[in-house]
Amino acid sequence: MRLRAVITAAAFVAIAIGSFQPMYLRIFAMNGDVLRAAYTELPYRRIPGLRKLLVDASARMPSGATVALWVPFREWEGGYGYAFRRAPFLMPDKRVVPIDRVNDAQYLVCWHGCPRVIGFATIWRSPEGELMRR
Amino acid sequence: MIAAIITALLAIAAGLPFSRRLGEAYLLGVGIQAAILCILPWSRPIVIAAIILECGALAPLWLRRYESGSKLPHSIIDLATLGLIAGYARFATIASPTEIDYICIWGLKAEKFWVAHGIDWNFLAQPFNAFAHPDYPLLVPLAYDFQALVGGAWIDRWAGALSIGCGIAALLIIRSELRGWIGALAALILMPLVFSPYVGDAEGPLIAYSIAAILPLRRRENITRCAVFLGLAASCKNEGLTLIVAVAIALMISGAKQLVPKLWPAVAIPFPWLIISRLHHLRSDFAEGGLIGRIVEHVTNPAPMLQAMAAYSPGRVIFWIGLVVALAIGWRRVVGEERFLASVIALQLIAFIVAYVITPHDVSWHVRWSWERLVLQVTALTTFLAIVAARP
Repeated sequence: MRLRAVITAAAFVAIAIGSFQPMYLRIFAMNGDVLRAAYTELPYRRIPGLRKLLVDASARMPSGATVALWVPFREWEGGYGYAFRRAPFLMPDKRVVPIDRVNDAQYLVCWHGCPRVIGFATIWRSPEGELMRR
Repeated sequence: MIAAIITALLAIAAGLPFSRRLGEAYLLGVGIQAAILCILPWSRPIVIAAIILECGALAPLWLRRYESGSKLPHSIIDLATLGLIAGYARFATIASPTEIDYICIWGLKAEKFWVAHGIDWNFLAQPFNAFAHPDYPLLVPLAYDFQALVGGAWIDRWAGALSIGCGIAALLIIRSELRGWIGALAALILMPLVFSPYVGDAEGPLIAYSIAAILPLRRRENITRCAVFLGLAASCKNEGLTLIVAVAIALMISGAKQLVPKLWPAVAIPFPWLIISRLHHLRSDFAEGGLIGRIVEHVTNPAPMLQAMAAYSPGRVIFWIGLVVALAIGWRRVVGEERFLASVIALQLIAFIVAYVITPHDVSWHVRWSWERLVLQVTALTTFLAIVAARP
């Protein structure tokens, strides 16, 4: 019985150690502003500047506008999907369409500059990218 | 009114420990709030009026607490748990959730609905928005919208509040199941498992509703209320639907098949969404054509799935060693008095594997990005089982 109690205690200790999340204690000693900034960029880190570009561009379009997104990656799994899946969250009041439906779009947001697109003209530019309007 | 009546019924439910009533009231309240947004106009005054009604209905809970003299269970160990909860609260609300499923599914839908002031069927119907899994149930996005409506603004980082609330509710229910120091110890150990690290995703609410539904069912108590929580679990994620099946089969395995019909609310609650989503042609990716071919392929060649499960195994090795040892020590209880809980966990794990067998996606990719989250859904229940099985 005593051996069983010891093994049980050891098992409980192992479970507790294994499930413990030190982050929940460490976080009290961390700089909140730095952590907030890092977490804010974290989901968009593979395309630096994408978050800022989409937030800034969204502020320059009317609510309800249809906008296509251009990034220099054509394959869905090769980068385009990464950007496209994140865009609607950053522009919730816009209708974001993929680049192959650019004909439906009134606006075009391009990460790091737009290609020449017939019928669209640049209305705003930043270090992160460009916004074009039909 | 519906919210008020149901919450009042819950609050005055006889014989329940205070901590469980509190936890259950929160979880039921979240479900009711989501239901309110499906029925009532998305107007701040209306929503606040609904809250006032709900709070009024909650009054008996507090009165009863003083009448009965019941107290929240407490121990010195709980201070450590509270410290961890405070750390989690900071972690969960310091910034907008970083989880990709929040950005692409749960938070995105909530934002879209917030802008549209209702369910945005147009967004859900667009084929290029399939990544947002339009067929997923809506309790979690609507819970975020309720918060936004009450607050009068959409603030991303407050999505973490739902994860915190669900974690506390789940822990209170666990605490009511195990008294004394063992309950306090269980709460401390289980804290990181019920407070989902996937902040903003539906895992946190799903875990909490699962706990609220399944733990009381171990003793065949309050079947209807358990079934309601089971239905709310199914309104969080599709895994909640398989959980209903798992619970029904587990009841049969544990010799309580006569209780299965009493689970009807578990089916009735998610049923309207199942119908409405089908009417809007919102289909699960699992329903894509070539199902038989996929099953044959994955059953005849399970190596990629198993390799991915091994490569992306969830949690720390020491945790699983401790869990297996505890279950082995208490194996008599596992197959005896805790057979129901053990069966639910086993059946739900089988359901996860079946999902991989029928997946239309590359199975290695699918396992990589979901296995850890799925296992987390039953890890708290499994750990609870290990603790009750191995305890002196």
